[in-house]
Amino acid sequence: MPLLRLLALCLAVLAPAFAHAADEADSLVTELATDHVDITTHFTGEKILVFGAISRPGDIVIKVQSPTETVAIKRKVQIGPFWLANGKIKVSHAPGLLYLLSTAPLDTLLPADERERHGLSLADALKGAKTDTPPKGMGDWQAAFMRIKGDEGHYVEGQHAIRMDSKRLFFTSINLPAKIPLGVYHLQFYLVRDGHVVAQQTRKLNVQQVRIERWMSNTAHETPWGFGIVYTLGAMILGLVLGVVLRRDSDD
Amino acid sequence: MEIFLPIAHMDVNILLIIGFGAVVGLLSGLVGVGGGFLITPLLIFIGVPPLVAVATGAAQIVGTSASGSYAHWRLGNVDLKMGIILLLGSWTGGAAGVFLARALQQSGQFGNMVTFLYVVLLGFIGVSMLLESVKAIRSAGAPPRPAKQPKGIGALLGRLTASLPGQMDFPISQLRLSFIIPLALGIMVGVLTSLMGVGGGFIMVPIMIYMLRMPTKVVVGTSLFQLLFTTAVVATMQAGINRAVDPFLATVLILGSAVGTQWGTRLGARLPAEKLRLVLALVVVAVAIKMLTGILITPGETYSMSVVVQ
Repeated sequence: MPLLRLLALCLAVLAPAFAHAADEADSLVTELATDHVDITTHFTGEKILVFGAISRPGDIVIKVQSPTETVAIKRKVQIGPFWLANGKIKVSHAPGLLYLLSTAPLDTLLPADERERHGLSLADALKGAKTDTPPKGMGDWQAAFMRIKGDEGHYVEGQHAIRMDSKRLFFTSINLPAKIPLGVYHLQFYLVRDGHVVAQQTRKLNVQQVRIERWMSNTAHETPWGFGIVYTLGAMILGLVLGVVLRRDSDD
Repeated sequence: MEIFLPIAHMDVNILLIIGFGAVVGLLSGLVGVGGGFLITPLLIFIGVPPLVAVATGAAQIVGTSASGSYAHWRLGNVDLKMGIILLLGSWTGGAAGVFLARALQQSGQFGNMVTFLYVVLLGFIGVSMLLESVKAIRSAGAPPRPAKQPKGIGALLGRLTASLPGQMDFPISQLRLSFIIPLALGIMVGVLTSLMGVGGGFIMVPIMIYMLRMPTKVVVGTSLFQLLFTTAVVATMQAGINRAVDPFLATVLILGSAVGTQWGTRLGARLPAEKLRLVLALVVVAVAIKMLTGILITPGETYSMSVVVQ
């Protein structure tokens, strides 16, 4: 990756500058390769390069969090010979996407109370979640929620995902899958040393639908009747036009 | 070539969807059925949420039936009086069906309902078509037997319908009938359009031909007319109330099936009709079996999750 090498070089030049001032305070400089992700109809996921520099050696933790969303969890049960959907629970106020990336396993970097204070555990995602009373037999929906989020690549813990270079520079990439929640993502950077968070920084990443996709999706949700009438008439006209065009073709 | 569907909230391969449209169009061109009852299950198989599959199926039929309806209208094959009574029924049934779909969706049961309706209906249609086409292939060449006179249940139904109130004349269809019959037929078809994403021609046409004894030409024109305006209203309501019509998906399906229908019509003129019907019967039975095994096989993950759009 030539881009990565170039950035490394720039940071390597900058890093000694921090070192001078860093005797009293830790400083943390971070950068994202982009501040926005455009979701088009052919979006199949994106890899976002994240890098930064620290003034004194330490470990880095990055928490990536999307806006919260509401999901419906359904369960199938066997009724006679059939597996049928039976039982549904709505869960709101849980982040749609949560990544915890670090230079080393989190439990070796920070004690439990410190991790809890900063929300550095995937299981914390459900702490602020709101839900109705779980239906009978769905007591284990939390485990299912975490499992599915993991399988979809929405909740990921990368214990060695961040690479340190010469103890001053760090690199990682955020690998977003094809299907991700929209909105402003928060990237929280933590510099950790001796079991404490010694510096923090926040960056934002705007994940948005673009052009026709956003327009279409907004129209269909905000003015559903207008969309329905216009689309249905459009389908009718398209059908008539296709009928005429294709018939003319087959007459030739 | 993947595209992201804004309403279904998923990626699909656009060529696969064009292929679905083309295959269903091909079958409908070959055999003369609508094919809506194949589109919905195919969409569900690739992971489109059942409600979106059903609603988009209805929107797709609007596009594919528009041209045929117009052609029959110009040829005077539409019994407008009959068509309007059918429509009054199917709009009522369709509206009720859309609200029923919403209630089922909210309680998490819509997928179950769709699966059961399809397994029963496709199983029944597929098996009866299979038996009929095997019989037709065996007796090919033999002189056609005269049409059977209605006996037993048929005669009973005949007496029953004659005694219903509200008898009126349908000059184009050359029959006298109580308006309750087409109204009830319309309601039934409307509910199916909302719950299954089908036009309902496969129910409407046999009933009109064999039970009401309407002339075949008028049956085709009138059922297409009814089907176009039923699916149009149902698709609008599915978008308005359930926000479930995916415009990209429906448009790609319409394009694919328009091309497929052309091939099908041309190919159909050269192939023997009985064998074609056998092919369609096998396809229908295969789809029913696939749907059935989907709920018979123990799932690897018993939980599923979907994003609720506010």
